[in-house]
Amino acid sequence: MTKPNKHSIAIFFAIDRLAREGRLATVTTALISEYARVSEGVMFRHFPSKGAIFDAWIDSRAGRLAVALSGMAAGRTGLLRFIADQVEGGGNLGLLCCPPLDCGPQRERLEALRLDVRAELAQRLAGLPGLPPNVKVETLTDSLWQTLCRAWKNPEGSEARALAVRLPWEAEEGPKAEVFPAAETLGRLALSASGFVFDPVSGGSFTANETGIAVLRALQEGQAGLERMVECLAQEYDAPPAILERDLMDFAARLREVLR
Amino acid sequence: MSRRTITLGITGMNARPDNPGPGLAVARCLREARGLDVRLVGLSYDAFDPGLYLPELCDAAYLLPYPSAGEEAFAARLALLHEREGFDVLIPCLDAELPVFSRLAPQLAEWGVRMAVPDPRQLQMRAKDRLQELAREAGITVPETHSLFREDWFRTCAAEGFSYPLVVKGLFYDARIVRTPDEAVAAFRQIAGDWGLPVLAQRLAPGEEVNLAGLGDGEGGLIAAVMMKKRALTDKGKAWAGVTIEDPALLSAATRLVATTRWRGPLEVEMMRAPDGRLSLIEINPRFPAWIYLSAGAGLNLPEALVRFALGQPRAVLPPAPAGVMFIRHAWEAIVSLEEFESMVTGGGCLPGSATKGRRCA
Repeated sequence: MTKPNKHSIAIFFAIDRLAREGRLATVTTALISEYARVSEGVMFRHFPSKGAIFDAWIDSRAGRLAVALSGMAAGRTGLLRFIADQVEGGGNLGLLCCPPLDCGPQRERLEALRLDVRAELAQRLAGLPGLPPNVKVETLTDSLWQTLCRAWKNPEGSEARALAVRLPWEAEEGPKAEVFPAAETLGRLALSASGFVFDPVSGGSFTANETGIAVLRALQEGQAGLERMVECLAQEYDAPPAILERDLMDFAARLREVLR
Repeated sequence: MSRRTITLGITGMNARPDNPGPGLAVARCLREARGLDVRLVGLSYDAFDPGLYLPELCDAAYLLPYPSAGEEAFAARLALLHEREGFDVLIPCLDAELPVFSRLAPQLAEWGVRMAVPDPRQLQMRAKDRLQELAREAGITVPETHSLFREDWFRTCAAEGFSYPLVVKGLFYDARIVRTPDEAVAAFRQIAGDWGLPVLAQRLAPGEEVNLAGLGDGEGGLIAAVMMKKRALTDKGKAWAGVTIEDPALLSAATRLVATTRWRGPLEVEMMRAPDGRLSLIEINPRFPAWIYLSAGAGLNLPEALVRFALGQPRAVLPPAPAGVMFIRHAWEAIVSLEEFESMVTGGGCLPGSATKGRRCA
């Protein structure tokens, strides 16, 4: 392992940025050099190849992640603290959330590392009291992982901020009506049967599936609270209410994210 | 009864794909203006500006001396072109030339050339280094900004509570997000070299940018406005795609700014919407933006409204353009005959498309 110096530190930060921008899959050493402001000549004095650069980056971030994982305090508070630190730091999450690398050996290393971290998180979650009933720990781990990756991509977003105080499937404090964005915000959305949704104030648009559009229409009409919506969905879908509620909570979280 | 042809001079005919000038878009709006019979004259500073050679946008095209050549030379060239073309209205579209046009406005008015441009005092009010005062007066938030004459501030700004990343800006143009003191110093040197001192350092306002293009009546009223959210950016952060929006808070802020400055003419208000919904003012540009063709696309042709206003035609305050009209910019190649290019380089002007239409260059 190459001992970190000012150049390798700059290179690792550059890869963190490139990872967040989704450019690692096709990255060139020239681009890494440009982002790091380290000439390619200097870069290749430290690392013989692009694969070696990625190896060193993985070593660096995996080392920090291992320290954070082993130092995680017990219980929900410890887990939330760990998550908040990772979202704030960002670099370690790049390791877990970046698209596949184009260097085979390093891609395999990353995949193995991710499996280990996932197993560790699942183990931590399994030990927590008050998890949603009838939901497998694997499902919750998957939900946490997806939310972490979205928070990594948008660290200023409301989802990232929320992760510091509650796990993805936990409701916000206060009345459940606030799980969804404000009625005024939902009311202004233009919904299309094709699934296209346009917010005329922010200019943002997104797509939702048939169920998502139906939920949005119900919210716009002000007819359905969360519990009522779970009941309606339970009549249409063969799924336990807890799962439906979790999916609705997840949908609400995504809505809060795109309808800021 | 036949309508009188109105001759319009439009500057800013440059169109680099990553950062086009507004002149082509303004010309396109005016070409499509219903009820106006126009002759469009493209004015530019560089023989490589493609708008000069597009017959669908310009009926004639000429080069101007850079404003830095001096106001006398600039006015003399305008006088010559006015003698040749008989301008009814001039529409300056570039930030750097606005002060000159603003100062020349009384002289141009004596020649019978109308303009709707802010006066020098209004221009000064929206200057990037004065924006904080204006925003305070209008009750609008603006990110803290420092005017810098020395680069060493970037090494010590942490002591003043300025943390990286921050934005380094030129007085007229250019803005770069920098993440370290080294990046900041490099940006300072580059921008100071291009645009002079002071260079501005601004706290980075988090969130998403929203823009408003509008037209002030000079008495505190906003005649019309189109609001836009960028949906795709060029490397320089310019809009590559965008969509009209209806943002009451943005409209309210722009209305207050226009009222405070008693703005006359076109403007673009650039604001950031923070994740918590709060708006902060980034810039006011004293001209239409390059995306102004969206206004015609959305049914509220702001350049047409500008010409009618400049000509003193009756006006009404128009409702904002509807939300949900998108644009996606594209770049293409204008074929230029060597004869046209030669005419532009040696004679300072040409009739676009003259080679293919058998017309003679000017």
